Amino acid sequence: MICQPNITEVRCVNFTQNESARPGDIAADLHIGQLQVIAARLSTLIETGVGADLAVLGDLHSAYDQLRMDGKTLVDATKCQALTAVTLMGMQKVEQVLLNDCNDVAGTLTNLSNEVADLQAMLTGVARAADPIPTVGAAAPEAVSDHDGDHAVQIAEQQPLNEFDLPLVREFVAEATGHIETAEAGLLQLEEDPENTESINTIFRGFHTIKGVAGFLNLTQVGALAHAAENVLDLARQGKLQFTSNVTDTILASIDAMRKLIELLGPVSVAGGIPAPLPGLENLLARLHGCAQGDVVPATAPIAKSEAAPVATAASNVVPANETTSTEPSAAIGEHPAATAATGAHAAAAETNVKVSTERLDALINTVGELVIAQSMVAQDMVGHMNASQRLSRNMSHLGKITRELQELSMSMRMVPIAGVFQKMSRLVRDVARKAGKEINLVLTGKETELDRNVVEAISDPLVHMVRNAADHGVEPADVRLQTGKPRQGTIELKAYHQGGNVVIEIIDDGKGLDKARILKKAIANGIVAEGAEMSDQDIFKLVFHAGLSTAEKITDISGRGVGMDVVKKNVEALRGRIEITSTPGKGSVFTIRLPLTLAVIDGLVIKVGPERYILPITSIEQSIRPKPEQLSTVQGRGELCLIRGQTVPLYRLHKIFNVKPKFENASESLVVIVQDNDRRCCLLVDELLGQEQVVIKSLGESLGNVPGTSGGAILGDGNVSLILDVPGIMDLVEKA
Amino acid sequence: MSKNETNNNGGKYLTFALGKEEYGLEILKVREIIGYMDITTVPRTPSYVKGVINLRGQVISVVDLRAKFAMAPAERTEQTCIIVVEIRSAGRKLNTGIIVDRVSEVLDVSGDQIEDAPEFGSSVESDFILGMGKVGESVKILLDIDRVLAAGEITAAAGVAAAA
Repeated sequence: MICQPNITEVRCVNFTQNESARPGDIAADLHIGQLQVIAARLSTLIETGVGADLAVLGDLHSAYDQLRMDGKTLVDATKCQALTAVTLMGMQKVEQVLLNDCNDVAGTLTNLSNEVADLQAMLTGVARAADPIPTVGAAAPEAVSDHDGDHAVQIAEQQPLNEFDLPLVREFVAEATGHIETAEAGLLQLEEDPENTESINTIFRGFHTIKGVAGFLNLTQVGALAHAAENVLDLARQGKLQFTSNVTDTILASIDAMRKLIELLGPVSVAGGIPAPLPGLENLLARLHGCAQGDVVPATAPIAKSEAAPVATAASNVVPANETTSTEPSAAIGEHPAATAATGAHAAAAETNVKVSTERLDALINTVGELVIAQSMVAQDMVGHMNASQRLSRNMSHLGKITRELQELSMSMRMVPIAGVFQKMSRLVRDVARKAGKEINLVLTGKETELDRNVVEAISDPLVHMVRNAADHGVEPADVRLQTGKPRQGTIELKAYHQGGNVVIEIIDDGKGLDKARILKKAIANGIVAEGAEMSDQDIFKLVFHAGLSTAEKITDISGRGVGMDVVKKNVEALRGRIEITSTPGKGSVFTIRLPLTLAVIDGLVIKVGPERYILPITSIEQSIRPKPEQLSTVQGRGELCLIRGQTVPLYRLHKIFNVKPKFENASESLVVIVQDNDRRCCLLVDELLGQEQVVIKSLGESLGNVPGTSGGAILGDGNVSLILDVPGIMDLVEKA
Repeated sequence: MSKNETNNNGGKYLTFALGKEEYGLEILKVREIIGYMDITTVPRTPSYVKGVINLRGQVISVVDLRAKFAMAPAERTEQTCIIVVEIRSAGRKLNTGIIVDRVSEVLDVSGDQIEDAPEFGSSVESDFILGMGKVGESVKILLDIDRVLAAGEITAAAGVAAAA
């Protein structure tokens, strides 16, 4: 019988052992630090397991001894990582055995002894590889760090991911994205306030955590990049390296490369296999390495190997070795006590948040929606009961109140602040300004404004286009600004706020404003507008949304290819939003985007055609009238027309399109709703208008796919489903028929 | 196709009636049975798609199995039901309602009670049938509901039952 050890206690012991580990034993490399942790933990395990009478513990014990001895000499990062992984697995197995004392012990033990054998084979390999390197005393860490730096440009070959690791990798992908964003934010903050050491720490921590986890998961590319960036940052935070714009650029490039690497990992983390190598990574590593030396390495010239060696020596002059050892490994150990580092390291920061899958969230919102309907139906029934007791009606109204609160609460869960998107913009403005040689100050207001998650995602691209335009075309270069009596530094303001049921995002620049004459000239040249046409300012500004109209004098590689603004308009409209421009020559422009708070709810007009009810989105409705017979006319072979304020508008009979039997065949007995989509208008013939309702949009069951003329279904107040009409779709249907 | 092999489709089946025939659905596919309710018709869909309903906040489509099998439409009665089934389509699970005349019972049909669907010649599709379950005197047509709902209109089913 095996005794049941207290595993929590084991972990506690581990932590204390970590802290008391002698610093001299720990080499500068993080992996060595990790090994020490593992060794300590292994030892605790073995002690706990002594009473358990497990033969395999003896093997583990010798593995541990070897590990402790060889730990100081381990310099090969790949081998270290492999070793780490196997050891961790071995320990987990032992723990498992100790926990479920008799269930399938034999099988687990066989596995375990196999793994221990692997481990020992690997240790022998490592020991052999490490032999030529002098290892004794205080010189060891220095040698290790130099060796590492020398090889920074060479990335160990990426092994296929272990299938046990895949869930961890998935988690890593999610978490690393967060770290990258934090690091980026920190970097931009640092640029504004170079004295802010807390920002350096923020960036450092981001890379550091990524590096640690990448090491565990054997992600060599990610690990190498994070390691190189971390080296530079570490120098900076010790005040040994000036944070010049070159360094900032290199770190920003690393952030971008890291983001790409993580993106590449995404599919791999699901399917397994080898992550694709990132082109240009070696060059970037060389740049980072150069930064650490205080050299300026041009972005295009990779470091030659022969040059690297003396540089490496220089590095040890810049960095007194014992300083690095004291800061880095201690942080490393604190953060990575076990294989669960990916979760563990982040758990402390995120303890007040719970990650919930959108699927579950949607299910909750659906259910609450049903609750609201059920509640209102019960309330409706109660009205009929004259003898309902006072108590019942009081409770009923209480229930109603709770239900409404619950609904608001559940809807608010989909909301996220726009800060993430705004963050991207500060990076963008900085890059554009540097490239174009301008000085631009970006002011962000209302970062905390919340809107639907989907909207936030979808608005990011249009915003990028517009902010880029404002920085590239709007704001003038410093000398031009000074000539026109403006401050040297241009300002772009990005504002978000709630207004009514909408979110308003404004992009305000104090640049030169839109050049009406040139827009008009270009539009006429491209045949978009007839020559001599009378146009209001607003109409002229709207022309910039026309595909193929770019007013930039020269095409830069940043913007000005004449795509962009038309895409912006399309995207905004796809979100059921609107976009407006105001501009004063010489003073600047304001682009205003108005978006609905959520994509999930629309304001609709419920209409009735025969027995069916449909919903028309309010935004597409111009007006509705009961047509007089003299307004209606039929054009032979071209369908029906309705005369609206002197203009003839095609009249479509909804009942014909949807093949239902209408209440009125005679158009002058029914109603027409005039709807528009961009510059198209039409009249829809309907039987009745039932009223306005805010409805939740639902997809029409996946099995039906896309039904032409509808954009989904909605559940009405009585619990029945009604179709939401897609106005442009209806126009297409009729015009193509 | 060998007829001597024991069919491995044995298990619990929910049986229901369409006209005179009894059909069976694998019980694991059945999510719930609901009474007939108002169905919102969706224009421009095949005639056997009766429309959509609100299943606790989720909009699901409803298929008229009679129309799907090219049977004459029946009067709606008290017993007309919608069986909500979970089918797999293009790797995703989705709920669909099917309208049946009457739900009968849940039956245990063992593998040796199931015979492969008889072959009706090349013009008649029978791959949406898992097998014919012989329970007592009666024969239940055991449906592969994934295939039934994935296919277009199936014309042979009524005849199949008679031949069995």
